[in-house]
Amino acid sequence: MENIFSGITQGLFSLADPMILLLIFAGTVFGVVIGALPGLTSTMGVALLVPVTFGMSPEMGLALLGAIYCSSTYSGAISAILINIPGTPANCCTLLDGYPMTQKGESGRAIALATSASAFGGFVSIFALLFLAPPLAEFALKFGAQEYFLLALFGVSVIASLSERNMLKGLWAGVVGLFLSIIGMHPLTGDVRFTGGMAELYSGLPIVIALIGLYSIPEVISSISGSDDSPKQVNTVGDGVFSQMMELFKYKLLSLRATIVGIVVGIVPGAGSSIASFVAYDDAKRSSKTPEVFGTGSPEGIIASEASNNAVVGGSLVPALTLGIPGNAVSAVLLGGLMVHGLKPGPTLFIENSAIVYSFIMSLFVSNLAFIPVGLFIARYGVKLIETPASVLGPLVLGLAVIGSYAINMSIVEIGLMLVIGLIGYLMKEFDVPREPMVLGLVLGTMAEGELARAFSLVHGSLPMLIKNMFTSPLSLIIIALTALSLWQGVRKQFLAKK
Amino acid sequence: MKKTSKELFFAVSITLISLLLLITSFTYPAESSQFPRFLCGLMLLFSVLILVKGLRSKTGTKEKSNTEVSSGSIMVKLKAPVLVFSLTIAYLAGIMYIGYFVSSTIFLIGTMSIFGRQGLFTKTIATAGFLLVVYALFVSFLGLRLPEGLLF
Repeated sequence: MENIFSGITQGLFSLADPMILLLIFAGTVFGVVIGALPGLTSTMGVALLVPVTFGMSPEMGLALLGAIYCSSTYSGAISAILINIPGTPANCCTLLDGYPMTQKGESGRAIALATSASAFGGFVSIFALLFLAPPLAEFALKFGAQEYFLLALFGVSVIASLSERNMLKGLWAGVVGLFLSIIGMHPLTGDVRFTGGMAELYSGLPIVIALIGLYSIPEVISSISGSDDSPKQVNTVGDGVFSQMMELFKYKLLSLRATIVGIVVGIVPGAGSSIASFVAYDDAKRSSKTPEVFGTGSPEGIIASEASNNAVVGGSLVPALTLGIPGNAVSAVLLGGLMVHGLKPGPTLFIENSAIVYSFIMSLFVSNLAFIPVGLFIARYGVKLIETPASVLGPLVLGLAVIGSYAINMSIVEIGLMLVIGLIGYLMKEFDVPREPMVLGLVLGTMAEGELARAFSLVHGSLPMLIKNMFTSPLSLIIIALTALSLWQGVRKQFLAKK
Repeated sequence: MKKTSKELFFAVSITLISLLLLITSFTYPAESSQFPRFLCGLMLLFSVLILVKGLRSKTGTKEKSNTEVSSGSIMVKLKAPVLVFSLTIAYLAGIMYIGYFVSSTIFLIGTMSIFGRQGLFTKTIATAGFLLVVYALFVSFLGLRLPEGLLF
């Protein structure tokens, strides 16, 4: 506990740097715009800006990325409420009650509630991250190479729940992600594999390039293919927004319950903000005194959806920072951002880089406050951005993807690599293959291969010995059991969905 | 192309690719290719399972009417991806030969004109805003050296 408080002090000191505060503000503006624009997701927003953080200190870079994550998760509610299109998948439930409120002329009240609920959910979840992550990290120090390998497998097992619609294709995509992550030199022997003679691939496929390609190109193609390119007409937010925000306090218990749902769902790897939003919405409806109002403009529906999806932010970062297992696709990309700055996610992160980690966590508190004025301002004055036609937005996103890929190593070849991954992403979307399992595989693959190689060398290359060790160590057995449980739950979910 | 045929085409393609990768994995030293071999084997297994599933659903839906997509609509569907990839490849060539800023201006205004019917004012403002952000963020702030071509 003492370490946590000294970490908090360190983090607060880092926030005294005006440059960090400026970056949080810039990240918030960017995140709110990205989130509010339908078709552009939080994952894509964070992925596009990872290259921008290269020249910054880790504290600055992570503060910027964290601000985008928090604000884009919130601002999808703006377009959901105003134009009945969720800005990000996390805001799907918000439109169920948000748009009916707009139709009744209550868009200002709906946005005010979404803003205060998002800030509340996000804020509480960062507290959870602050106090849950360090003890979990301390426990994880007991892990050896074989446990880490099993942990990576556990992370991969989440694919089962990430690909509810088609588990076989999801598993295939996960394995492809793992395969892409092992391209390049072997972690112990240094042998070069599957590079096709390209020197740029010797140190592996840059994860940021893969993420930019996977998420930007397919979205641009689908937005450009859409037949409706006409600007959308939207209502703006009226006066008295701040007093309407206070209405949240009428629903204290509901907000807290939805936040807890978000944190728990966020901690479970693979279950993202949209799942949290649906679970919390369902729970709110079942426990409401007026369930019949849900879907026709219920403030409770908006609060449940928004408090829970923003609470996923803190929850998803708990396993990401302490175990190196991303809770969802955005935190997977954020992990990529951490790695780019030379940080190794895992239990030692809180010991070796405590100043950076606490600075990041404290910056998330500020981000959750920053999106309140920015979001309300954009909802009122900058709402014209939502009207940006796809034919203008698409080329700008492509331009950003190109410069982002080039900035990593100042290499034109890497832009080509991004395009190849973009083509793979487009084909995956066309053939209904989920992309999230591939991201998970990409993030966990390097850890899985490295730790497996180390575990093998510890038992002098004896497979029976390795298997014996895995089934005699209590920690390994727990992880194996959790992996089996995760797979079983995924299979069960799919079986029930088919029924 | 019918939906089931599309699925079969996908399954056959990934099966062949997985097989090729599995064969390639055996060309590397055993010590450093055990994990790749395992992954390629898994990839092949899942590809075959997807293929089997596709074949089964094809037999199952033989009698039922299927969503037939005409070749005309395939062409319409392919228009956006073909244009996006070919324009971006041309943009890359432009970056190498005529420099980043000139090729970006041509690419952005050209692509916006191809995909929509926005006025020249909107296109010019969007392009100028984008280039200004790139210059401020990447060149001034990060000190990134952008490719220079024949012009600048």
